[in-house]
Amino acid sequence: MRVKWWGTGLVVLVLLILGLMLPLVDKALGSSGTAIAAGTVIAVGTERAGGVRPVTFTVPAAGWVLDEARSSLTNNAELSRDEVVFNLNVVIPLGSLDDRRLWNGFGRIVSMGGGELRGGPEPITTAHGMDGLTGPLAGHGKIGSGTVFARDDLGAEITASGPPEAYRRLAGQVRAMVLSVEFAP
Amino acid sequence: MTRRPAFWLWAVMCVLGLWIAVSAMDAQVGEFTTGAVAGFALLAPVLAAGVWGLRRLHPVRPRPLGYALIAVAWGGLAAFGTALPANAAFQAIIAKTAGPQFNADWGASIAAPVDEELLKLAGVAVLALMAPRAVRGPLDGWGYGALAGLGFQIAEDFLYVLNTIVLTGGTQDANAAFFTFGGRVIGGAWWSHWAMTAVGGAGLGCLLGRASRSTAALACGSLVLAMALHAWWDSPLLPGVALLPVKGAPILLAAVVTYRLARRHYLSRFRRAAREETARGVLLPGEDRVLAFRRWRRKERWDVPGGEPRRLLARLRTAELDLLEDGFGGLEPDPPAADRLRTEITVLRRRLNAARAGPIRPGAVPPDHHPDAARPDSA
Repeated sequence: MRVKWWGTGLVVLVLLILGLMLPLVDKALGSSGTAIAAGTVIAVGTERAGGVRPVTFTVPAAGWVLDEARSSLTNNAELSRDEVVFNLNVVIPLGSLDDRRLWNGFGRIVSMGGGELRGGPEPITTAHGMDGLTGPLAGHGKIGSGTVFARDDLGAEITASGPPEAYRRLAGQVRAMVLSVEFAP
Repeated sequence: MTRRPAFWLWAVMCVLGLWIAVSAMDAQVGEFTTGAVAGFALLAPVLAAGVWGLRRLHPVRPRPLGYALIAVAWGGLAAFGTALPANAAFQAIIAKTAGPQFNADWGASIAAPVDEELLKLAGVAVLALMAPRAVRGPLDGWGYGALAGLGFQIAEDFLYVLNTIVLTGGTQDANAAFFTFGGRVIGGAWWSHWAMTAVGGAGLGCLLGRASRSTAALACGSLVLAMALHAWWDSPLLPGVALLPVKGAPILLAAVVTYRLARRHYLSRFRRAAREETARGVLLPGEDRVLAFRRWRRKERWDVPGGEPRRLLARLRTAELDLLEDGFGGLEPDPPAADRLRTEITVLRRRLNAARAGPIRPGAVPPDHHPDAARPDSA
C-alpha cells in the first residue's frame, strides 16, 4: 500500500487517540470526586510563597464532594451535593477593583453561561468582616445565588445553583460557605 | 493534491477544529466583543508577520505561500480545535487519578506537551502526505513545523485573551487583550509553540526526507525534545514573570541550533547537487552561485529586458532550483523528475537565449558583486 494511504491512516490514528480516546477514558473513569469532611478548609488561587493559596472557604457539613476534574484550584474550586453546584472563581484584577464593578462583570460572565442575575445585589459581610455583594440568579431551570468579594489586588466570584427544591434545602449550607470566605493578607 | 486522502483529512480536520473552537468561544466572544475584537486586531498582524518571517527563513528561496498557509491552518484550526477536548480530558484524567492538587501544579506540563506537540507535528506529516515535494529534509520540517506551531500559538493567544477577561471577573475587556498581548506575544512569543514544533518538525523532516532507522530515531528524539521543552515551559519550576526569559531561553536556543544544523545540512546537499549538475553540463559554470543567493537572482533580472525574457529567466531559475532539490528525498521519490527537469532547463535556456535582447549571460555573476563578502543567508 502506498505511503499516502498508510501514512494518512497513521495520522488519523494519532488524532483518534488524542481527540476521541482520551475523552472516552475520562468518561470511563466517571465523575470521581473527593468527599469533603465537615470543617474542611478549601484553598484556591495561585500558590504564593510557602504553598499558600490566597482565597479560602470552609465546608460546613459532610456530604459535599469536590469535583477533581472541574477544580483547577489555581483558578477555581467546584463542590456539589444533590445536584447543587457551588463554584468559587478567583479574580485577578488588572486595574482597580470594587464590589460594584465586579458585580457588573460577574453579571456578564453569568449571562455568558446562559444564566441571569435577578434583581439588585444586597450587601453581605463574611464572618471575617469582609464586605461583598450577593443576589439571586436563575437559568436552565435552576435557581441559586451569586456573590462577589473584591479587594484591590484580589477578588472572588461565587455561584451556587441547583434544582429549586434541592437548592432550597441546601441554601443554609451554601450561605455558610459564602460567609466563610477569607482572603489571605 | 485534492486526490490525496491527506488533503481531505486536512480539510475535514480544519473544519472540525474550527467548529470545536467556535463552540468553545462563541459565548465569550458574544459577551466580550470589545476584548475579542481588540485581541483579533492585535494578533492578526503578528500572524501575518510570523508567516512572512518564517517563510523567508530559508537560505535559498522562500517557502511556497500555499504550503505555509496549509501548515498554519492546521496548527490554528485542526490542532488547536482537537487540543481543546484532548487537553481537558487528559487533565481530568490526571486530576481523577493523582488529585486536584497535583493536577493544579503539574497537569498542564504533562498533558499539553503530549497532546499539543503530537497534534501540531501531525501538520508537518499531513503536508508531506498532501504534497510530498514540500518536505524533503530537516529544513523543510523545521519551517513547516514552525508555521504549524505559529498558527496554534496565535489561536491559543486569542483564547487567552478571552480567558483573561474572565479571570479579571469580566471587568476588563480591551485591557485584558493588551495584557495578554504584552505577556504572551511581546514577552513570550520568542520561545513559544513555533519554536517547540520547529524542533520536532526538523526531526520529522529527516524521517520524511529519507526513511531509515537513524532518521526514525532522530524523529523520535526531536519529538521527545520538543515535548520536554514544552513541559519545562509549562512546569511550575522557576515561577514569576522576571524569570520567564531564563525559562524561555533554552527553548529559543534549541530552535536556533536546530535551524543552523538543518540549514547546514541543506546547503551541503544543495552545493553537492549543484556541482554534479554543473559537471553534467545542465548548469553553466558559475550559475550555482547565482542560484544560492536570493539577492543575486533578483539582481540578474534587472539586466534582462522585461516581459517574456524576464519570465523565462524566472522559470529557468525555478526549474534549476527544483532540479537541485529533487535529489534531497521526500515521501514519494519521482525518479524520472530529474530528467524531466533537465530537459525543461535545456528548453528554457534555449528560449531565453532566443528571446533575450540584452547581452547578459544567464548565470553570470553581476559585476558589482564580491562573492567572498556574501553569504547564502544574506538575502
